[in-house]
Amino acid sequence: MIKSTKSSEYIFYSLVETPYADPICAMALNDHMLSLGTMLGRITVYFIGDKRSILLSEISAENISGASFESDYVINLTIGDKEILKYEFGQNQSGQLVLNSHSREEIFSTAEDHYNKCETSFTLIGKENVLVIDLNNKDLDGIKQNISFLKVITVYKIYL
Amino acid sequence: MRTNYDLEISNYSVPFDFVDSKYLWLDYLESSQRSISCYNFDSSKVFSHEVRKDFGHVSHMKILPNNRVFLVRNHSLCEIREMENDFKLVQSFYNLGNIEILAIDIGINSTSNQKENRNSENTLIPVDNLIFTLLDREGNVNVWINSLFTKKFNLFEMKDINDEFKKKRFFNMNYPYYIKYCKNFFAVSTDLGCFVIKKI
Repeated sequence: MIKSTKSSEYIFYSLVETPYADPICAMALNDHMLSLGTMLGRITVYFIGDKRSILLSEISAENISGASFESDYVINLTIGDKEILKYEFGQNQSGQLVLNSHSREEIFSTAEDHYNKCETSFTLIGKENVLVIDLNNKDLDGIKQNISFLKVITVYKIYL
Repeated sequence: MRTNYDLEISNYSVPFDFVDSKYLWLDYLESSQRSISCYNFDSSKVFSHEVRKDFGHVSHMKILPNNRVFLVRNHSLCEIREMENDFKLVQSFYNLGNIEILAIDIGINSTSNQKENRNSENTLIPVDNLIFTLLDREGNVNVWINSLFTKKFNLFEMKDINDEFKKKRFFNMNYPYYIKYCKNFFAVSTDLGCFVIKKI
């Protein structure tokens, strides 16, 4: 069965603008806020209640590969396969949501390890875990054109 | 804390979804065949199902509760399938007007008694309690819930939208686009930025 709702029941509330040619590649929405991440690593949080946005990062080392709310006021973002950012918000005396704290965790243990694996690894973010997939783990040289070759990859599941 | 797992995939694989306990991807195999696979981190088991060329292009896939998957074939055909029983088809429907689907979001119907996240595997969430929100190339936002399809709105025809915005194209850059739905708000990514739409 198909039902149509009048468009007028839905109103334009706001446009959170992003720079030209910097596409949004990570997005998370809950009752209180909207979080956006772009290919160039721009991170914006928009507070729905007071129609206000704050820029958390103009640019990052890598693209924002995922965004996920851990709870109402805590958001986790992955910066490519480099690191995981956690932002925690709270209310100030005026009742406005403000950034309380933030922390970062490197995905690879050393900068050299990240440098060696950056081309072939990527991340996916869930509510409680980050999945790091390293495609270039074993036996790749010389057989890249054989698409049916099945290879074993290593997946790291990081508990947030 | 981190845990390592070894997975077997093809040299050309496309990641689709990850919901803490499961990872869903598509492998390209020989002779135009593809394989849809899902790894369960709790049981360490892999579901894998090969599909032929005539299955068509798969543009979106999301993990559903109860060992099911939601996928979009041939740009506008939506299907819910079981990740067992030979990939058994549970339900299917076309997007309104057969228009290409650009983005999907799946959530729990807040009017139902279910409070669980779609990630939860421990609770049996009927398909009827899920909300499937679809964004298509013409800017329509349609919602499929409990076998009922509702056209919610068109981005270009929203009340209070600036005339300047209406003259612009929202999906001309062929980026990946996103839609999120939470209670009375929709967020839709476009070439201009992210539109926030409120239900009044």
